[in-house]
Amino acid sequence: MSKFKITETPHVIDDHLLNIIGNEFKFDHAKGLAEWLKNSADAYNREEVNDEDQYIFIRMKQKTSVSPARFECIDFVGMTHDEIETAFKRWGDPQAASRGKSRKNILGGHGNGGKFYMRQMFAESRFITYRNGLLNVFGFNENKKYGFDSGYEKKKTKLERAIELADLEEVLKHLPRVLKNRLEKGQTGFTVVTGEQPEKLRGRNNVRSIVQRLRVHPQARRLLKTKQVYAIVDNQVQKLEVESIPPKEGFEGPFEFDVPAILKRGSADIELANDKFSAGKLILNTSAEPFTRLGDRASLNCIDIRGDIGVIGSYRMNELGHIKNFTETEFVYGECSCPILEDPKEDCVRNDREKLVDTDKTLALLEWICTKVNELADKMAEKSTEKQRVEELRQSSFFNEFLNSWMRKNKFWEKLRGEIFGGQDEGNSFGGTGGGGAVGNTSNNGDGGEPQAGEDGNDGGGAGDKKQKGPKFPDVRLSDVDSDPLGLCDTVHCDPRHPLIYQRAEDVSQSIYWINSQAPFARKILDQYGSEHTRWREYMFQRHIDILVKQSVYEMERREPQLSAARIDNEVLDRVTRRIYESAAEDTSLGSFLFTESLAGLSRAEQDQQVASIPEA
Amino acid sequence: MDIPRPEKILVAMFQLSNGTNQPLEYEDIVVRSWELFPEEFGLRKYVHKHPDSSDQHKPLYGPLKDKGFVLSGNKKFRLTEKGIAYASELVKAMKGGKAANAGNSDRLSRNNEAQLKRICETDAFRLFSLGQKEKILDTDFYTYLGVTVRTEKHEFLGRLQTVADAVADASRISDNPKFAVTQPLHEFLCQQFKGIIERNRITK
Repeated sequence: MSKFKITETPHVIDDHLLNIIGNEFKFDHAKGLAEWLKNSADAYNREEVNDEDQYIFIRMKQKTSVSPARFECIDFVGMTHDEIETAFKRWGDPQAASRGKSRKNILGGHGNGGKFYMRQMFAESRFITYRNGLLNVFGFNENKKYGFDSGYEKKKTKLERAIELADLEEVLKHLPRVLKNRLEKGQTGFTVVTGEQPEKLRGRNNVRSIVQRLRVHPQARRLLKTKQVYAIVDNQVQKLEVESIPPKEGFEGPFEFDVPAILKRGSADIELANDKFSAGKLILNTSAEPFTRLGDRASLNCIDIRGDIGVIGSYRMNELGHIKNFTETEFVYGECSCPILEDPKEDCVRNDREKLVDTDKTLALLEWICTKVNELADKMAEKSTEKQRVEELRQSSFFNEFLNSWMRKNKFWEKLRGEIFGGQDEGNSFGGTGGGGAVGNTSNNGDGGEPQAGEDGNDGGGAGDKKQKGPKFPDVRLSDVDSDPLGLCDTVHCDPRHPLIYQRAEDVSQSIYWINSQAPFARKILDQYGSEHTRWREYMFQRHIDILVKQSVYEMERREPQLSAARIDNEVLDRVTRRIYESAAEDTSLGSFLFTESLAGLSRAEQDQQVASIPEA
Repeated sequence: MDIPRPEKILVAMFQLSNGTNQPLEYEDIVVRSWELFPEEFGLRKYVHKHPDSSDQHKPLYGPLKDKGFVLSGNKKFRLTEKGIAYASELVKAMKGGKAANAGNSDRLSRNNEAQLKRICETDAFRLFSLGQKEKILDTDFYTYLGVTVRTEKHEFLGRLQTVADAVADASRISDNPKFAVTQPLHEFLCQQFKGIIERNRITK
């Protein structure tokens, strides 16, 4: 202990300190009005008024030749002289907003926001407050000094006169009858906070823009959701409501993540939940439109840190840390709760509730939020790239149509089957004689697979000369692009690990084949050369040949239970590929298809013309 | 020793093929089955004179294929490795009068061991072992069974049964740690792709 003993005495603080602190608020009017809204809401909450009966009006008047611009916030509670003395006049008192009552539902924090807004952002400001038949006017003069109006301190005033002084006649028209009755019976009062000659009110920072920004301000959004907040701009009244934000397609969300109880930061373990404070939650949402395109709503592109009652901090995406995908994060917004941040011992909440105090806890939390935002943005970027690719591929669907037509018009399937397997019939299916014999009379019905004839053994022996229907003519499609002819889904999505030619079980009987547009080599061609390039056309042509080979192998197995490598090599691989390539060499339409660069960018009519130019075999 | 009718056909096929998987004509199977078991496969009223060729369809295309003992194509049939092993046991049992104990041995059969080794080389096994089971595709499942999407339904069911038997045997007998993974893998795949299995069970 020191040998000196200090006698305690009240601090003497120069008003200049208020300028220093006030400047830190860096007010814009939306933020300041949100502070006023919170004060009004707190006034109602202290009186335990239900949310639906909490009427708050933001009245804004533009500058005229006879009067300056004026912003006002009106509620129907009112303050007593005593409250002004003990609560309003005190700077930096965390108990000011609660007036000594429970802090439950109290939004005010350090008791500074609304006052500083009055002091810093207007040439003059004051509030007219009426309660228990007494009128008080208290405010800041042009020297930014505060005090009561000399004529209106605890002044006994009739309600009508008080209403007239506060210019509330028009506003009262928008109050419900029950609230007016309470006012008339003296069961409640009113407060009108007024700021005259607002600072920085010029250019795009006009009254309407301020109202719009107020609607999306993190400190105001929840109030707008629950209370009856109206804006009166130049005598036009509108209820302020939170706009719903349609989510981005495919990312409807919300995406919820539990905040880990322990986060690593460097070598330290940072505790974010314990026995006293439960684990937090991060909720991310998406917007159909990027926020930057939404004008004043751009400020929604942030993560609000939500405290017990309201927002205790708000971070634009670029303030969270290293954002990898800026384009995609422009679609993201969200909120994070983390109760331990409000532990008084931690002191994480700032005076202005705009940003958290930088501590290991808050920084670890922000870093973690950043990783989650990055993860979501990465997924969105992936999908967006995929969508772009699909769009690009859609342009080249015509190439596939062309090949389908070429194969069909050349009757490749029929000719090859005839040659290899000695089939008899032509048409849209493989010909050939049915083996008949012992097995039954059920035809293959063109399922392209194993013979189904007499499979259940109930059908008795066949004559052995019955014609079997072969597989249907292949319908070749591009995965992730072309529509599903069976209507089971929009399109078939292939995985890069799926084979180059993919079939679902349902496709087999319909001879539907999907060229896997997600296969790594396909992707490589598309990425390097684009879907219009001849390489991509050739790639598709190769896949059509694969299908023919595949179908031939199965057909051969259907006819011969024991396949030999020599038979497959000679009869299928050599013969099938030779026949197709011979035709391709002879056919000018296919030659032009495979080798002419200029097919890129054809109109639909020109594409149809190309298909029509394929000669019939 | 009396054995069920489908098993009698297996024995006939085993004898006809000399214990190999060579393709057999239906007619040959009919005749050899009748020669071995005339009471079972003889034409009514002419049991010892003529075979009844309509009796073998159902077992061949049904239970024998579904259990993975027989494959068919173009009216020819052949025994699978599993079918050969089982038929061999049946023949021994018939000779010695003992019940066939295929599947109850305390050693993995050569066929099952081959199945399990094949399974351990599949992508499905690799992904499952790496804890990435969500990446397993339908085509991985087909490869796991040794079939394709085009495989005929009875053959599909036969392969499913063959693989299931091998996996069950592995968990009963083998202490190979890799084989031990096949049991949970098999359960996962059957659950994950039950739609495909059901489709093969019910599709005409």
